[in-house]
Amino acid sequence: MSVEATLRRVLETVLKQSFPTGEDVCRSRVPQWDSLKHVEVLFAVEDAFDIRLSEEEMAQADSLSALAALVETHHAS
Amino acid sequence: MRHDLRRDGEAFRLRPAEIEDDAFILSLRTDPTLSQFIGATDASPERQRAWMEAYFGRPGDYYWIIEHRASGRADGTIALYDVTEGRGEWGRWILRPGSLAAVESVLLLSDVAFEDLGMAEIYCRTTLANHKVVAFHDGMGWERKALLPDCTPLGDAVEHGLTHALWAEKREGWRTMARRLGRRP
Repeated sequence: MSVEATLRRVLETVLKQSFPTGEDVCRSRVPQWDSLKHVEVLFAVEDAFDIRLSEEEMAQADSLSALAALVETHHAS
Repeated sequence: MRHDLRRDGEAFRLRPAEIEDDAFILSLRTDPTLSQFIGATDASPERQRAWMEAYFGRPGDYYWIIEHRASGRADGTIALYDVTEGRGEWGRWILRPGSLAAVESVLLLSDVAFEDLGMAEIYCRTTLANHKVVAFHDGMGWERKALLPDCTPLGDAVEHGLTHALWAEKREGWRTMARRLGRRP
């Protein structure tokens, strides 16, 4: 499964709603993506990809595309 | 009121708000994005300072700065007020954009309320239009106690409560989350 597909599944599981393939998912536009869910999303992403995000990265991870970029960065290093 | 109640968490701490914090507090309260769901704040520094002076003399009112422990950076504010007969309201909860302090700041405030102040219950009131904060309180396991019609300029509000017993039940889960958040490069 691609990074994007895995992240989409993580977001759908944590936020309990479906997001159409191909569309970015942005925290600012998803009412359910509150501060608590944000932490749950980040932990789920860390677990799914076996990475550890820095505090600064967590603060920036406010969309599927931003999360994908972080995952790619971690996997490249 | 002037107080010395402090709490250190994993990544954040609560420290008493001081007069020198007035500019920071004013910056949060007058930020259009951060303040859209709270009461109007006069942007005058003199008025903010006068409010702080009045706060220092107000019994049962505890105001904190939420501080990032590693950097000392002020991340937000939180307060407990109208404390009487073992019950009190908390609020003035504003975090700077990108802050990860939400869970831990509420955990620390509840620890102060129940451990340091020996309270029986704390509650908060959130305008229903503030969907994300309402969802946050629901997700943290706080109990919806009442719906307050037309309670705020933005309409109805919901009151969430946390009793001592519920805090005792929930705190380890919140602490685990804060601990994992705190151990960051």
